[in-house]
Amino acid sequence: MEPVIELNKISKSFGAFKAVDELSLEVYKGNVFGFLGPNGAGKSTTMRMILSLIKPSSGSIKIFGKELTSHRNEIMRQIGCIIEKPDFYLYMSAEKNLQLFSKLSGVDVSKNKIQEIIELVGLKGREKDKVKTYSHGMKQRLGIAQTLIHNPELIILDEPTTGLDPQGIIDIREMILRLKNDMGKTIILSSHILSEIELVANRMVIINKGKQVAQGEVTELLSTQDLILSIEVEDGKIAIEKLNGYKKEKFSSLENNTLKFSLSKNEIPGLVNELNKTGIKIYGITYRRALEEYFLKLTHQYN
Amino acid sequence: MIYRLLKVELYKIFSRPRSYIGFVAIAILVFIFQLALFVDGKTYLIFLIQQLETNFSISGNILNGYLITYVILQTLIVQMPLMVALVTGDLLSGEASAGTMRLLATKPISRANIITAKFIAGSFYTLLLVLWLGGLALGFGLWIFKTGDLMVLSTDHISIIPAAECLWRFFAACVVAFISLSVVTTFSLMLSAFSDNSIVPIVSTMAVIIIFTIIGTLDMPLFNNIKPLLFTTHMIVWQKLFQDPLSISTILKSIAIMLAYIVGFLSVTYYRFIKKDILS
Ligand SMILES: Nc1ncnc2c1ncn2[C@@H]1O[C@H](COP(=O)(O)OP(=O)(O)OP(=O)(O)O)[C@@H](O)[C@H]1O
Ligand SMILES: [Mg+2]
Repeated sequence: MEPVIELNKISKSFGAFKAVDELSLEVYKGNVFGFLGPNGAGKSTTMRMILSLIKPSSGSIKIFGKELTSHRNEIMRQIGCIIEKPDFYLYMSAEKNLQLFSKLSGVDVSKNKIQEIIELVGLKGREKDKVKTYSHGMKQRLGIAQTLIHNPELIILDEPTTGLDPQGIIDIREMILRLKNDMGKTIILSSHILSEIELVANRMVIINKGKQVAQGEVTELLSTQDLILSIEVEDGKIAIEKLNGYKKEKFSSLENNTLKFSLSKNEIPGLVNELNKTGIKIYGITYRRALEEYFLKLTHQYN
Repeated sequence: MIYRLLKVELYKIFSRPRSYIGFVAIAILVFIFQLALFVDGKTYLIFLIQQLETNFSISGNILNGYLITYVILQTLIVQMPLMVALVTGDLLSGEASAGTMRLLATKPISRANIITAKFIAGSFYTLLLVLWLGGLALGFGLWIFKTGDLMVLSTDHISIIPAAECLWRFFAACVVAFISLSVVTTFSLMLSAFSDNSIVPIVSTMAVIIIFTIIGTLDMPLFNNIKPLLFTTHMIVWQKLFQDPLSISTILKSIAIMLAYIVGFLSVTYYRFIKKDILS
């Protein structure tokens, strides 16, 4: 199957600074593709290149099997996007904004269709108000409406949940799944929160400082074969002594009486059993998947 | 598609309060002028004629609608670039600062068409402003002060334009004034393509016009050579339509120079905007 998006070693430099560095990826039809990375990783820059807002310094982009540079308008007709913040003409109503942007996408949508979409994103009753009077979350919802209004094949969402309340986040998640499952849309979604991507995406790429860190099926990347297990005990040193070399090769660190092991899920019961036998008090057992742990470390560098 | 885009651009211009500032300001100024001349016109006229330091016998209705219109045009045309730039300097930069350029530029419209639509919409706005000024001044002028021959004083002579010839000359003056202001339109549009906020292009346009105008009024050898190159020198050429004898070639030459500026500014705008990375 031909990919919907094909990035071939694209790079973007701002002066001497490389914001995106030889990134390659493929997005397939009907998939939700996650773009995960800490602040400043290059997510928005990559999306801007896909949307032809900025030109790559090198590399090539194919969308729907066609070169972006030579088939731009044809391609853009089939894309809906939110990039960075959702911004609109503040002096017009939400309804008017939607009408205007759909017109610019080359379609004349009916009043009914606009109403339908306004209802879908939960802005019913406020559609006649000027966008000036909207809260950030409402603008974000209008942003989603705007991506859907011309019924595009490919939807690009750059951090669509920032500024939304918990219900808003859930609404968007459900909407993404509905677009994928019921309507067969292809979606690219960026976020700096792993769980947000994990809950909706089939495939994902993790980028940091413009470079790819990992790419693949979400279930594979986040498999339970590869866990970081943390066990908080009464006294870490004594616990290690008493374990007497059990799973020594899987042990990774001891900090504040918390033992860390890298292992797979089915090894946990054996280890806990062994520890129990030693009589050491266990206060807590938690685990994270290896990639999750790695990504947390990445984002912590920035916080 | 360009027609669609043009409709959208016009809609955007006319749904913003700032676009009406110019119309309201012109209406107020025209009203004030006409009121002042209605009340005090005779004194003003005597003052004007005294300046000639010649003896003159005045016959007929000198303080007529045409004279009023001429005086209003001459005074208010100076403020027109500001009113134009207020809207046209914002066409590209305003979308950049509002963040809407991001959306606009992802639509299936070429960047060149975005400029074309904005240029046409901006020009249309400019044309309306000129017609508004000319129409109000002439309409109310003729209604209140009636017609008569137009007496125009310039530095070295007086021209008397017969009443029957005034209408087409005012119409031609509006066309020429529109071309002059189109230089301002394209200049501010060009600056607008280089900026991500609308204050810089608007203020810069005004600054350049003020500087050029001042250089234009300084009578110094150094400046005299560059004066013909300044677009502001040619922006007052509409006044030449009210001189006897009519110097068509001077007027056409100025128009040609202004058109060259318009084409130049537009080319830079296209070049810049098509290549630009949209980062706002
Ligand atoms: N116009 C610009 N000039 C210079 N550097 C830029 C510009 N735009 C982005 N950058 C840099 O490129 C890098 C990537 O930025 P980008 O906006 O793509 O990050 P991001 O992954 O979207 O981050 P966030 O999660 O904060 O939105 C950053 O280091 C940023 O400083
Ligand atoms: Mg970003």
